Amino acid sequence: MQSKFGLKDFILYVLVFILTIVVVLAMQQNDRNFKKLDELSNQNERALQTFGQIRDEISRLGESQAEALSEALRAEVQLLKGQIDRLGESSSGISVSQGETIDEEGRDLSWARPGYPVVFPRTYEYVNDPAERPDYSSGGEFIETFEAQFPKITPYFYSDVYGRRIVEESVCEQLARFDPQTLELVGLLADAWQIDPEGLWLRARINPRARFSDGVPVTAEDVRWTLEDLVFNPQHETERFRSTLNVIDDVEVISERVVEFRFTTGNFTNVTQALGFAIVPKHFYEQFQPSQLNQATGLLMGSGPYRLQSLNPENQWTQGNDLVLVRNENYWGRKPAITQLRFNAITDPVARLTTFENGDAHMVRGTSEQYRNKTNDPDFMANNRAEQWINMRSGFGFIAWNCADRNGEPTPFVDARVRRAMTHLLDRERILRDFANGLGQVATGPFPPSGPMNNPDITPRPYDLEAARRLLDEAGWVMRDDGYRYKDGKRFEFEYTISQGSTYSEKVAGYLTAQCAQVGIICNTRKIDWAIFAETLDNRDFDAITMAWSQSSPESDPYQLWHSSSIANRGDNFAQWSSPRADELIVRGRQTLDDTERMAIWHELHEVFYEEQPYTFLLNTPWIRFISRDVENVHTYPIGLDRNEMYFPAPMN
Amino acid sequence: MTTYILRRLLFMIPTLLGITFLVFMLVANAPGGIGASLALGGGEGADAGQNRAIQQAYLEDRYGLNDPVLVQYVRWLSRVSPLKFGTPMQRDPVGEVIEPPKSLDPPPFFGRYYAQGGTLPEQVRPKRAPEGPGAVTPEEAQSRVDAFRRAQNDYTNTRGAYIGSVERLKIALENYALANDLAGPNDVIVDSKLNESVFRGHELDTQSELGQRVVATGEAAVEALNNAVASRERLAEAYAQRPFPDSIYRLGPVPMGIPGFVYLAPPDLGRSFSKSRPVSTLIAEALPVTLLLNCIAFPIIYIVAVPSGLLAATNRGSWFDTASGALYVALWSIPVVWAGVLAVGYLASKDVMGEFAFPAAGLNSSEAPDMTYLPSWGDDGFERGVLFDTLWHLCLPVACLVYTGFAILSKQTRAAMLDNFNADYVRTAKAKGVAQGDIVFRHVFRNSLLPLITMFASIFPAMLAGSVVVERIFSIPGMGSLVLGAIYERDRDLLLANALMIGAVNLLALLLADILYAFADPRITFD
Repeated sequence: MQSKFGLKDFILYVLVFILTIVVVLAMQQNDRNFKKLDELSNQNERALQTFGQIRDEISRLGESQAEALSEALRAEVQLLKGQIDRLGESSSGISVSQGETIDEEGRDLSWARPGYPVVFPRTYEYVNDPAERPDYSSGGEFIETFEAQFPKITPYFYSDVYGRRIVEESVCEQLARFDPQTLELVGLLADAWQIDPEGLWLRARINPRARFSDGVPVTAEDVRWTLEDLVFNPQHETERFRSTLNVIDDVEVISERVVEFRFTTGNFTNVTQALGFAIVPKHFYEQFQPSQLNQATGLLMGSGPYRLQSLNPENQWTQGNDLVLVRNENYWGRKPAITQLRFNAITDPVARLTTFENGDAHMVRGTSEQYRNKTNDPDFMANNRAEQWINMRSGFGFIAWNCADRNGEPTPFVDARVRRAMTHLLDRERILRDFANGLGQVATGPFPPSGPMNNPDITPRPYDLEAARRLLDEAGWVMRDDGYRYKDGKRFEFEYTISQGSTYSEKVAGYLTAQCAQVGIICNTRKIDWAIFAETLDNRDFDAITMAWSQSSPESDPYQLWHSSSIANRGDNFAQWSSPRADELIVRGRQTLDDTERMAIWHELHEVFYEEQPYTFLLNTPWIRFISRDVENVHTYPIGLDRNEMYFPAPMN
Repeated sequence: MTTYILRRLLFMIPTLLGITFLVFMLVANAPGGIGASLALGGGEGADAGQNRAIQQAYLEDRYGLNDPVLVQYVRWLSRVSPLKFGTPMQRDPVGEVIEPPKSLDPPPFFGRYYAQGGTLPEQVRPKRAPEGPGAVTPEEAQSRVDAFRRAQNDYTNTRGAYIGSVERLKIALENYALANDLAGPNDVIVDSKLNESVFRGHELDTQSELGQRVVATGEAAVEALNNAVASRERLAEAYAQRPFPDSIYRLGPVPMGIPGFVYLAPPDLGRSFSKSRPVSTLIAEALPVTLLLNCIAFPIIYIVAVPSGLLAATNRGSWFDTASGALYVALWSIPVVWAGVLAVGYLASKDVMGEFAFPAAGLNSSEAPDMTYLPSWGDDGFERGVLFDTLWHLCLPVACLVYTGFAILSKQTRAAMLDNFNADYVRTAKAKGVAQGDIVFRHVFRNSLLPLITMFASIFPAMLAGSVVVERIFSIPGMGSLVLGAIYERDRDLLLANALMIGAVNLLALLLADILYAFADPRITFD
């Protein structure tokens, strides 16, 4: 008789199946326990190692106690001096070494080139000191959710803004940084530097207390190695940084703590370039082959206030996982209050905001629409902050007019009067109000409005249809009976190129078309894929194109974008704008090392932009951040935000 | 049967070639071309115009993007194919394939506008030392590796300098051509290649400043070329010493194949140039995530849809038939984008769901690394453990993947069952007095399996491809997001590897479906 598959068999099979699954899961659990144990013992070992190092250092201290102590004391004295300086009037702290080894304030000058001024900058400090708050407490985990996955966090190998924020703001440090409030350079790893009046060299001294997160001192050799053997090594995929840092011709180690940079040309950006790159430990990165570094996703070590928990190259952080940074308990400077940072990414805007509202993230970036909706929601505002402000990193949107030929034919925008008319055509206050939810401000030029390059006297060109008509008439574009403007028998018709998929750009394009129609100009919108934007710009194959620029430092070199020599050979002056006056100002400005003098030149340059309107500058777009009220001491600065200042308040009784 | 399967497997090779070729050509001819993303990452440099061109030239040289499209395709094929011809490459401990040093192309207009009567330096063909590194002491092997790395560094430097100098020469030629009205601004350098026909029949005016610049940059390029060729020779020598083991499959100590002619070697899927990581690791990271999602979703679809289709067919016209049909079609017509956003906005919001809100994104909560694997009851009450945490996170994405799938499958089952119910053999069975259950399961259902198998063949590859929409809404780093990113950035190797994988799985699924036909229906044979 045929055996039938009965209920009993079924139950038996199900039981066997469940049993197998339980066994497999139990094995997983066991495995995980062992892994955890392994991690713990590793951590233990590292702690023991650190302990051993400290003991070694103490014993070495015994040998050369006097020397070391005097050194440490001198550093402390210097720090105090710096603080006194700041209290007093003379905040600059500059002295000229004339061959003597100590200046009148007792500061060591033996390392400096004789005869040149030495700058003793103030050290990087909190603008709003959290420790002065009554509810200050240390601890807590801060979660920040980004909008896109970040593929790499290895210094100099990362490729996006998220990598930069993790590497340069939390884990690695530079010789100097911009003060969040005043935007002046303040010392971080360097405690003094000397700048050649011609701008051809820069000598910096490293703070003797500076240590990498494993306790090894930061030396001049690390600086040299970072630049010459890491960034400039052609086998490393660090082109992104090589192209900006190649103004540095040579790095020389003068002594253990003193390093000198030499530059190819005396350009004002040299100082920020040389003092502003992140310094990584040679002893750590040296052990890897170029191919290992190129493929590494999470080999990250530096001297900053946070560090990676595990630096095992076999088990690196990879994209898609949360990135956890723990506070560097051996940090050589003042430790921040928050003990752990967690970064993750949520691509969908709704999911991102929901996660934030659920309390699973402390900071997210918002859209202007979200900002408008949420600031009207009292429940939301009771638990969260919504901040929007313009800072040195927030960019500006613009319409670039092709000021020369397109495919051999001159565009209507060759004439500056036409470009001015186009700017008068656009009611940018309305664009701000209707398309950008009122966040931001009307831009007057390419320089960040909060920065020193911006000329505060320039006000935006007003919305003025009459002026636009007049300017067009002057330029020879005359209205005919059919309602369109003509010049030399050619109708005024142009193509406006925007990138596909941006609703904001589409709205602006619609508005521009309507405004043009009012004065008898035909504007046709062309949408192109972002991937061919570069090609379109390179070939100058557009009449007008819209884009946005953002900046990374308070002062940038206008040469690349605006000098007429950047027109040829597919340079970045894609508007093909050339103005002898601007050229002269740019060249003079680059070589002027004195700050006030140079700013005067930039302000004049700003006026040229205003007159010539190579771009119609649309809006300065602000940063929008939602930040939970769980964290305190949140301040917006011209530099952005300073996370190191924030803290989770202690529960008040 | 075996011959049939073998024949089908062999037929897969040309099909895959066709698929990858098509994808390759699509990428190459898309606006922006291969590696459009590389061009976007510009820097802020001093003499940016020139620097950017040089930087682009470096990148194109590194990924071989300056070669003709067909050459690039054939090179990709030879890397991916496990069957290789010629001398085996070497493989370093990181797993990167080390190729012999690439040769250098001569600078444009050599011997015509400059260096007249000069000869190009001869470039050696890399040779091979007879014995591998196994035959030498570890110290010697290490010193070979060091020597090779040094030579490689040097060659990368000199080659880079040469490429930069050629780029400068091209710019000088372009400026010269524009000044002498030989061509329009976009015609001298097209797609970063020099259009030499512009200069046809033109004698260089060596008196003019720009002409002298051409000669000067040309001579600088020749000097850089000489340096690079000398450095290349040293590298070829170091390479011939065999610093690394051959990249070849071995059976014990015996290499598989005849090195020098034909041999078997590990296929190399190449590197993604938007992420500069090996494609195989990227896929190995993303695939398990997608598989996890789909291995939960697809059984759910089958378990719900097939029985309800069956039930609807046996009770045709009943309230269940109508209701389930209406419900599934209603679900099917809800767009996933909309449903996903609604799910995130409401089901994942603590304002609406309180403590039982579903997670809005990701696969694990931030506390997961500190949890045990299995759920446990500790001092702080119940802890759900990593396993349940993951399942909890999968709820919404799986729901979004599943709900549209019921309609088609249950309707298919129902239709197939009904077809068979009306067949003669069922009437005969009924007349014979066979029990209703036996008719349904042993006769009708088995005969209705064929369309379900066909469906399976089309659904299975989708399991690997991932769902772009769901992965995007729930921020799941699976295959869907990987492929989408690759398309945006025209990431050649990543796209091709994906096309290859999905293509192969599709073909295998079709083959599997055909074999399953034979099992489900004894009337079908392949002999």
